[in-house]
Amino acid sequence: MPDLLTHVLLTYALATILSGRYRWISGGYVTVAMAGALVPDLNHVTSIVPSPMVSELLAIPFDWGGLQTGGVVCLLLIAIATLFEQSERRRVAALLAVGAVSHLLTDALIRTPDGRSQSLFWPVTRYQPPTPGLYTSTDLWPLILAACLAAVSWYVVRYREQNAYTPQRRYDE
Amino acid sequence: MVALPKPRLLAFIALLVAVFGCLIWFGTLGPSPGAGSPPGNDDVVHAIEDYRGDRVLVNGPVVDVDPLTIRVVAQTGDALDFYVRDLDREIDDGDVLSVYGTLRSGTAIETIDAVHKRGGNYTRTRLLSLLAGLVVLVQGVRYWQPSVREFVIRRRSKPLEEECDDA
Repeated sequence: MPDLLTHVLLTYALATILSGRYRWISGGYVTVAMAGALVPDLNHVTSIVPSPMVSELLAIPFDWGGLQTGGVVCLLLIAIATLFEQSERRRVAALLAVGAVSHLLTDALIRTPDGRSQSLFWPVTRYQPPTPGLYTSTDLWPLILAACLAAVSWYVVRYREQNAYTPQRRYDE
Repeated sequence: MVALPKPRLLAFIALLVAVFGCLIWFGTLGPSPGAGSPPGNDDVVHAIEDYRGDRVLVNGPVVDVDPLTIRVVAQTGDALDFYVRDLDREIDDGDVLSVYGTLRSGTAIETIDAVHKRGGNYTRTRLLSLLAGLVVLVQGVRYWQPSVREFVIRRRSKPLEEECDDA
């Protein structure tokens, strides 16, 4: 997958653009979307606690790789949303989904030797769709593109809005 | 003492249990070439004879360039060196190769396609990912306030720096 910074910047751009249309998406909700972009990469916990260690400890099969599948990501997003106040939960869930889905979709574009991406739709199906192979996980240009999109979205939506004459916008609108 | 909101806490725990259950389920899955999931590092390192003649997808650091050899490491830490045949690229020791090919005799892979990444790129990727985590954490603290006692995350009425200025 691209580095996490690429995912976070791309999600920032998406959420900021959406905030131009949906006025309630303030900085706090953009941050929630960015946090959602981190969720599919929680499988990197395997670097600290490898799957075989958990398997051996609990004497059961186990694989952190499931954290990168669509079904498990959905469950995690709902679990995270329950941590928020009820009045915020729907908006939080929506923005978390924006981040997580953008992460999974950009991962599905990565070049792989067999031309297939990940099990995006598991547990519904194990099918791994073909990937167009636009970049490798360590290419820099996706990061540069995401940074440019983030900068442009910030300028067009946030900066110009803050510097134009408008009635005071309530923070908690 | 503030009472924890039990239904929400129970829902959170139930969802985490569901996630854990899915990870156990995922751990039972073997290769499924028909679905686009060929045998990988773990399968090949632990049961190489089972996949002789099959198409496999392995990855690892380059440990020798002549003959081209990669070290395929399973999650258990067990490793096997594989000779990568039919790959004509400029590759250095320490680079990382992901190879899709047919497992031939011994530990030779006849390449169908491969993805090559420079060794230093992984360090850069990890540092950038760490930076991303820090950015999200800082922004999260700016706008949201967790309450451990009430087991809830609340939106701040104003960003943290403005709250500090007011104070």
